Amino acid sequence: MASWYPVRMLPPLSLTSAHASASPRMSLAARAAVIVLVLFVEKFVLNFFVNFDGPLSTTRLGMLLNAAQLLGLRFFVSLAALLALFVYVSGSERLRLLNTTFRCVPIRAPWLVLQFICVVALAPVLWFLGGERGTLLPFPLSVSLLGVLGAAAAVTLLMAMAPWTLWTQAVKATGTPGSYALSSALVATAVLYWSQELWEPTARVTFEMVRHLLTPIIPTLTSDPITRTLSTDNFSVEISDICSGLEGVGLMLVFCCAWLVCFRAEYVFPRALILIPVGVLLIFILNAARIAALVLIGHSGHPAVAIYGFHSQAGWIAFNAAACCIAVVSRHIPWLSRVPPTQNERPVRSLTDGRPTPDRPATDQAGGENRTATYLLPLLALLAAGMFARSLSSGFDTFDGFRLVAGAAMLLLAFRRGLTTLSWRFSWRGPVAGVAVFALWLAAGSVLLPPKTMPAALSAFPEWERYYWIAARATTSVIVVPIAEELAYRGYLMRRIIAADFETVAFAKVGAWPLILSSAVFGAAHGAMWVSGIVTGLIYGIALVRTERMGEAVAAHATSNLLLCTYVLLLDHWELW
Amino acid sequence: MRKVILVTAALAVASLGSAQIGFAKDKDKPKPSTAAPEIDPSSAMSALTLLAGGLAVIRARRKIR
Repeated sequence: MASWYPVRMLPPLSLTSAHASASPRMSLAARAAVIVLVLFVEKFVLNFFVNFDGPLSTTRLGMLLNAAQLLGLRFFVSLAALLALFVYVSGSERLRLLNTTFRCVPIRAPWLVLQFICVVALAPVLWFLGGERGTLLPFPLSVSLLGVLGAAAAVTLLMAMAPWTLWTQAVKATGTPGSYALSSALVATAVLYWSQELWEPTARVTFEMVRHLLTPIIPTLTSDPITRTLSTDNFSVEISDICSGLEGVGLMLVFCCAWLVCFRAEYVFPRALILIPVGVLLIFILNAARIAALVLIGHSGHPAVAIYGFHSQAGWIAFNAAACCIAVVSRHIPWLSRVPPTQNERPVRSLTDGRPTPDRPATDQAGGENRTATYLLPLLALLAAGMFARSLSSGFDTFDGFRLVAGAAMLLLAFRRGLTTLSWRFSWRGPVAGVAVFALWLAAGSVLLPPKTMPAALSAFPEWERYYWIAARATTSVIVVPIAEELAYRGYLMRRIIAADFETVAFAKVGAWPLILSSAVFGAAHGAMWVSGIVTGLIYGIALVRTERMGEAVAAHATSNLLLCTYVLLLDHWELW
Repeated sequence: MRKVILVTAALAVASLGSAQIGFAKDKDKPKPSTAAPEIDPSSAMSALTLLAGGLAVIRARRKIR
């Protein structure tokens, strides 16, 4: 490490790695992440000071500046993502050493103050840029000052996070992957700029495909290629740019590339690259089929279902189906896959709350079953049934009962496959944690969610149907969801972060990071209430880790859902359901 | 080196694809009579959770065969 860092700068670095571990500071990766976050927040705030309709959109220099900031942002986002991925994939030893060195360096507050001053100084320059709010400086001078202050803000932030020498060493240490990332980001930004021109021609291709698909089925179909509108006697669809299929193509590109990078050892290259165009073609065809189905549903007398339910779900259903198809089929084609189906045998284990049970032979316990499926399928069934039900709805989840049936069926299957080995007992702690979560959701909901009464569609149901719907929703919420989510997020994900063979991880051994990460994923699934969701995940997770009983987390979850359910029904606060 | 080149190519395409989603369209058009956007952002989390979970199950199934 000595060769990595000048001896003259050693005072803070005379700390040994042992000291560093005793008093750990941020690593290189953490500092880079903080820099990206700070710059992002500052740009977000400074945007409020800019009048984009002024000279930035009328003068040549202004337009140049605007284009530069747009493309610059895209370039830096691409570069940051690519650099992180390349460095991760290359696993550079030099960077690993440098990471440790960074842990010995403190954050330098004076530079942070300077950085803050630069950012504050940027605000009036941006505010008066162009002169329509008064004049600070002529426009060209303002632009120059903007450049100088922006560069100063970036440099001072770097200096605040670590000495300049360390940053130059970090740049050198990225080596070839760094230059690849730089050139890839440049190419990606340029191609991205050009690709804006793709929307219209792609939408025209999609329009023609849909027209050819529908003409034999609906003889009365009329089409207007100018507006790209397809009309039947009682329904009409315009295939606008956003329906062109490019969004799905983008998603599929990301998926295929990520899949091939993650599992590159299992594929034969360059043959496997064929999966990328195949995936793109597949999702493009599925998008045309989606729009054709949309027209058919609308034409058959269900325009509300077509518009509100089907269109919002069908794109995701098609993408998920195509992605899973690529993942499964590609691995069964020997021409593409290196791994024969019989390899990768995994020892089968069964555990009680993560601990092996030596009194039972391993082969009897799980019998070669897919334990990941046992933990995940109940939640996946809930999600899939929810998507399917919403695709059939016309703005209200009429078929919400599908979730109950699918979730309960998968839970029964999961218990038959061996979930009885987990401890399902619980004490007073679980329900108390549930009450705390309920209070948190009430508080957060009152701030974040606009009040809603019972949906009009539900009120219009016949009485018995309404009670049936509410009973099904309540049963799903209080019984099925808590078990399914706790199995997936805490039973599987929290331990899977630690080890691939997640069942060997005792709950008591789960540290802070797996708990936080699994809670973050859990929170992200709760939409506008994501912050409360993260805190809730932490509470349930702590209840489980402390007691080593799955039942404790489930009891907490069920209690909070039961209280929420009661609150919704008694006080007519449907925004929480 | 071969791996790095492959990964470079793959990630360049990936970043292009992801950026394509993020910057779908700079200027909005008037809304059509019945618009059918392919990807609904409000369903993104549940759809991606479903996909990630499904892939985890598929991979685990492969391992124990």
